[in-house]
Amino acid sequence: MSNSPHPWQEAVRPSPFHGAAASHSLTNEWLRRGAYTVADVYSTVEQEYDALRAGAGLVDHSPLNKVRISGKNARPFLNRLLTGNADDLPLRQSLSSLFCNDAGHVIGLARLLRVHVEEYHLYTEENHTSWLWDTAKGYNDIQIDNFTHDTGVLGIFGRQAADILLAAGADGAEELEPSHHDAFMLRQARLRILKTMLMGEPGYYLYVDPKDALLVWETLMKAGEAHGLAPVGRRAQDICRIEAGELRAGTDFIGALEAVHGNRPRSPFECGLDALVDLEKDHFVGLRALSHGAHNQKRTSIVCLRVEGTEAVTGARILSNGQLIGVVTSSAWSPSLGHVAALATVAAGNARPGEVVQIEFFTTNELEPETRKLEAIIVEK
Amino acid sequence: MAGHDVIIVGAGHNGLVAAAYLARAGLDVLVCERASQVGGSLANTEICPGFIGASGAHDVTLMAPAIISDLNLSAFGLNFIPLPGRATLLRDGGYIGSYANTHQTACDIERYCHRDAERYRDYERHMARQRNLFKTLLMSPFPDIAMLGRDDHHLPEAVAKGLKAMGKDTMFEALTFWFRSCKDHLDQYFETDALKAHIAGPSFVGAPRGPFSPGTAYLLLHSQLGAHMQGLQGFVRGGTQKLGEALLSAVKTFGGKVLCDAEVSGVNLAKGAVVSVTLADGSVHEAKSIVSNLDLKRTFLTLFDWEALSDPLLAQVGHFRMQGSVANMNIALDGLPEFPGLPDGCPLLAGRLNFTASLSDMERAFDCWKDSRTPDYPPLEVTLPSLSDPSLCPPGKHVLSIHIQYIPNHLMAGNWDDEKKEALAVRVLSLVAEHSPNLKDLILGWTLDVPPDLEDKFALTGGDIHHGDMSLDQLLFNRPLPGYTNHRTPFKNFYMCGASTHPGGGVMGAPGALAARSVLNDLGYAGS
Repeated sequence: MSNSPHPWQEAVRPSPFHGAAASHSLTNEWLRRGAYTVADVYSTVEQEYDALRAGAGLVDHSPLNKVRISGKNARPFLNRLLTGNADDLPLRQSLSSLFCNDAGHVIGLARLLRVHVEEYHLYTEENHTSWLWDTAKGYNDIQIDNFTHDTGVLGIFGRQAADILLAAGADGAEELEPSHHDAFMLRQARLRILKTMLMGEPGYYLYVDPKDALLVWETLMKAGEAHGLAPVGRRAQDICRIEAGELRAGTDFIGALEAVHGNRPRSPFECGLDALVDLEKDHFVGLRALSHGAHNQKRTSIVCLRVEGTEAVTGARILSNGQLIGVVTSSAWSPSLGHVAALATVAAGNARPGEVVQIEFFTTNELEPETRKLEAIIVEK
Repeated sequence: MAGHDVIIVGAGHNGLVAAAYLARAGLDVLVCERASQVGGSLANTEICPGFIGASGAHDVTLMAPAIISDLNLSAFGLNFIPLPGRATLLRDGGYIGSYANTHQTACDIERYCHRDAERYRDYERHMARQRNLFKTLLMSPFPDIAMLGRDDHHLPEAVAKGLKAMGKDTMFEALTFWFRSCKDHLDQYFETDALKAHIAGPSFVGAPRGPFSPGTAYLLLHSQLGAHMQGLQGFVRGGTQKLGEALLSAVKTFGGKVLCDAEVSGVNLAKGAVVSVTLADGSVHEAKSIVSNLDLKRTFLTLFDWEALSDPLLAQVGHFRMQGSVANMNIALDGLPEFPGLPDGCPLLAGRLNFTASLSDMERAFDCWKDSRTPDYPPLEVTLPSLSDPSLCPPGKHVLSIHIQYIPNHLMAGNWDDEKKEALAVRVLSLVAEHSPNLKDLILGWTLDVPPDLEDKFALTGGDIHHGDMSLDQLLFNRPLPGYTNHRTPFKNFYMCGASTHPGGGVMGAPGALAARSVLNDLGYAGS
């Protein structure tokens, strides 16, 4: 933008893909994510869901927070930061992990890419840069900077994703192993492509210079015409995310840095993210708290629910034998499961699959207030 | 004369809030005010014919929302104009702005320092946690800390719950935060001097302390206590006096009586209990409870015979620190003053403007206050209320209000007189004119109140607008004095409801509401 806007005009930024996304939007329904707006729905939620599950979906992930960590000490720093083993992460590979504070409470989920020998990129849902600086104090030769606004992120997910990428001319990308990434050319655009799974679908993340954003979008959309590619907004993504049991920071749990109330943060075990925590590691922030029986001191658990009825029940209370035991954090009608799927936080000890619970929420039916009571079953993730 | 249930001495905003709550509960309430109008320092002042300025507070961002809705003040004509934010104008022509939206403020800071912009989000989260705890303290009577754990003295449930919910880390943060200086606290987050001064600026209005003084980090919080309502509260349409008038209407509607030009000259004791007040005209009025809206010193030193005050009380009241540190200037203008430092269309012009660009500059000005001199560069807080409220002056004209910080009550060079005030006004106008080149050509008239004027007009001892320094030794369980919590005093039936009591100064109304609660409890209206 030649005339950079004044701060008071700059509350929300358009994503680098906004121009293209807007031309595909039939609904003009936008949603604020971090500093950006992204599409909530482009055409209809059902069409977009179907494209993602049957063909492929193009998703704008630019609001993701991006931090570059470089220098000689980047590796030991990150290994101390993340609960997974980042020490021997090879070049051009990535790691899904999380990081905690000293108390062993989850700050955020992270995807770490090693892009050079001494340079890593860390992708998170929320902005933790200031905390990363604090945590890096004591390390010399380490640079941490936030480059969120300098990179657009486009996801292409679904069973046709690889074919579309090939048709688009990203030569060699189809040979990427899962969780591997590399630099590619797509027409005149240099970009980095990571192969991974998201929302239960295989696919790719494309990290793009904002000046190439529209070119990349259009190239993919053209290549995807024959493969059922459609841009997919946040609502349809959410359905797939809930079906796959993927948590989102700020939605399904409150990050330890964001929490205003001291009893809100959760341990990785309370989030059901045990698999991402390597208690055998020599050290990471929060290890001491987590290895001291945090496993057994779970106050809450995050569970998947199968809810009767057809409507979303996000925010509803969960009761067991009349006792309040938790709250629904995400929910949607799942076309492929054929029922309402939900993620919920419940008091520990109530998380056994097969257990029947009651869902209760207030709503209106043509402006008539109603208290809705539904049954739900806790299901395996 | 027939007795009342409650007599309230002084019709400042806290006295009126207390009166409204008590009258609403069905009590027979009489408010006695020395001046010929209510509202105390909320009074409007006429700068010159047709121009309305603020003689005390410029805006009322701290007024507790619960009180506004409890007393239905909007129905009594109270109408707020939101403040869009604040700006600090820098000498090089730039500015730093803050807005109701944290993200927007971070964008603004980003122009100066990327690091500070990231830190700002952190800072705001920290303040939100502290605010969250403090919110519960604000509207709860503070327990007698020496009695905690004995008999049935417990922390109020809301406070206990708040403490429990805050978690260990926030508790540790709080414990250090309370004792720290404003400078030390801001240094933990920020690098840019001007940003630190920008954040600290409004917190020090009326505080006889500098940003380097220990315990001043708390002031950052106190000035933010209304922040969760930011964008909803701000200026009062028609001037701050309208808040006093709305409270007066509320009191009257609930059946309370208000006597103006009725100075209470003393209270009368019987067997250690206060039973009546004597007015300046010699009339005596009896009541079951008497509530003083006066500051601590005036309450005990002017209403009581000193023989009646026990030995430690007299000394403690004497040592309570009340020191004026702010002067208030209102200027009538022939047109809109230009502030070229703000780009065209910047909404912050209608907010608060500061000009001090470093904490050291603030501290140096405070040094002058300690030496009983007026500083050469007093920190200024400028507002242009007529920009959002044209009813304050004739069309096309404007009103500019200025809080001038670190103006001592007593001057080394002798008492305040017209000559000294004129010199201060000239100095302040030239400081503002550095940022507003056309200001001096627009001036139609001005008024200036220095601390002794504020003392005369509003009975603020020492000219202290907060009814006592808000440092940790005079806050919470120490306000007004250790052991005198719940707005009760050593004298039976006698209460205090002014800003000398918990939770302190600023146009909040909380001391008045809490005092009313104690009176109602003691009169057997528990649960009201």
